[in-house]
Amino acid sequence: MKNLLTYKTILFAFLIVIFLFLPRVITSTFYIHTLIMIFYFGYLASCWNLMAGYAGQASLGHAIFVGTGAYTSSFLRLEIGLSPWIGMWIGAFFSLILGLFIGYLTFRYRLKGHYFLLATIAFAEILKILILNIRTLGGGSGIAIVLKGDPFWQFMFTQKVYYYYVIFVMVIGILLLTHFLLQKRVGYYLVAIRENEELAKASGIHVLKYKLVAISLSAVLTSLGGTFYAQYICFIDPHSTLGIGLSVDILIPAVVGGIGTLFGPIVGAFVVITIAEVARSYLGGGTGGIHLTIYGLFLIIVIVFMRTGLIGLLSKLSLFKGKT
Amino acid sequence: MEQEIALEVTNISKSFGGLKALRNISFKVLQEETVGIIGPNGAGKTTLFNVISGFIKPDQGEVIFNGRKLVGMRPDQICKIGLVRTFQLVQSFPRLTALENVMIGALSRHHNPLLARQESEQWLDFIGISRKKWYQVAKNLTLVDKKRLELARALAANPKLILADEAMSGLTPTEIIEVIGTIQKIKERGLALVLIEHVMKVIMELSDRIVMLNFGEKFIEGTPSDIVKDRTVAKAYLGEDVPFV
Repeated sequence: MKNLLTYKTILFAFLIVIFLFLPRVITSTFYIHTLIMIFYFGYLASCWNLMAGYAGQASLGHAIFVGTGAYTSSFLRLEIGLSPWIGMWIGAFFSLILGLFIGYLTFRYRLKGHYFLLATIAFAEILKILILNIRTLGGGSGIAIVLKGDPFWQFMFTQKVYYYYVIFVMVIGILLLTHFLLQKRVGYYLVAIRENEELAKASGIHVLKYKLVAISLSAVLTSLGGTFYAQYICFIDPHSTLGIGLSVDILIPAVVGGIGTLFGPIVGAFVVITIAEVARSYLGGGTGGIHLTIYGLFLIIVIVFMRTGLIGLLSKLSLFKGKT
Repeated sequence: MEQEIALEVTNISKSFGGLKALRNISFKVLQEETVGIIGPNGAGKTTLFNVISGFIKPDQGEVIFNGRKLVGMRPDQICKIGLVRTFQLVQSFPRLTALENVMIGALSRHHNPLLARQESEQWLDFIGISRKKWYQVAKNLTLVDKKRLELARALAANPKLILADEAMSGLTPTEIIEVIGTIQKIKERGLALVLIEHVMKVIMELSDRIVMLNFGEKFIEGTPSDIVKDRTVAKAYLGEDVPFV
């Protein structure tokens, strides 16, 4: 409170300005696309981090909320012409219900750690298979989002740079929200549950309630990311919005950057997506899969040598001292 | 003069499969009283604490705390009405600082972390954790400091009664004397205490009354001097001729 102008705040403001003006310098659509993907996965990883990193409830089925958001807004737009700007909140509402449902069933019956992880995979797979078999939702061939009417109202832009600014604002939003929550009682309680659940109970924390708070928040925010994805790519199918591959891609930036740290997921996304995109663009065309091998090797190195992620490494070098 | 009853345990029984961990346990704790619970390993002491603090449900019996029935309440609810426990194996929030650990306790009464923080600082001073350790993460503290931290966190929840499960286990004789002093200070604040303890010196010095459990049953109850005189207590501990009451 007292020192609002710490170098951390200054650094944060400085980075905001840099990224605000970056598209004026970098105009290549490839680089803009890469930046959008960095922020998109950084955003999703931050949503995941809120529940997995702070509250300690790691999920491997987060795609279920991406898919719920993407499918709800796309379907409502297709069928009744509802603007995705509104549809995204209806999707978020469905994700909230879904998150509470999954959370209540799993937490009520005390599924923890690996068992909770498996349960979340199962829920995501169930929804994926359901949608694969619902013809109104496009089944396996998905939904194409085509422009009709006013582009802005339809959450569609002719230039990629506008999508960049939308996801950029979403990233700033989740960072501020996470930072804000950590200053509040709820933030302390989520971390206490992660650190020691039994002791949290004995210290007056209604563990089930706060776990449900964590999964609801994470579900709602993740869902908004799903609508963004649908509107940016203009095509969704069960594989790309509900598959386990996506769930894995969501957690990798957080793991690489540092689980349970504010900037970890974003830093992780920068490194991971950059490496993935660079390896793909220079090596992707050649011998099958070499770019994936390089990507995989990188992940192994991070996991073996940097247990606390890149942020952990940075704070060891005392660049980022203090509470993360 | 008749003192008011803080905690009343009536006919508590609990079985785990075929094992009867507790059989018809009844006892009372008066306001501001310290009751020591002793008994050999496996006598049911910790199970009794788990029942009182809401971590396990008894098969039968009643627990009344300041006029409220505790059976069926969740541990966090029991904490909030003023009955707080500590754990046999010392527990902490390992990657939070000492100060944050105590704040978690204080937050059960304060919505505002800043208020909780101010109060927690007072409790850390009271319990005798030196200021240079406030910002160390709990897992790096020594055992005695972790034990103190548990008491500080319990106190920060502003309880009327603390159930302390082996607050002395693993401490050196010097540390034990220090922690006895700390518990004396807690007693002076007018709290009721229930202590599970193996170190006889501690139990004799601190308890107003002692309840001894053996094989899940209340074996004997009395003042410390009654217990010392009773030869059957020694027998129960040494394992010969244990009579079933």
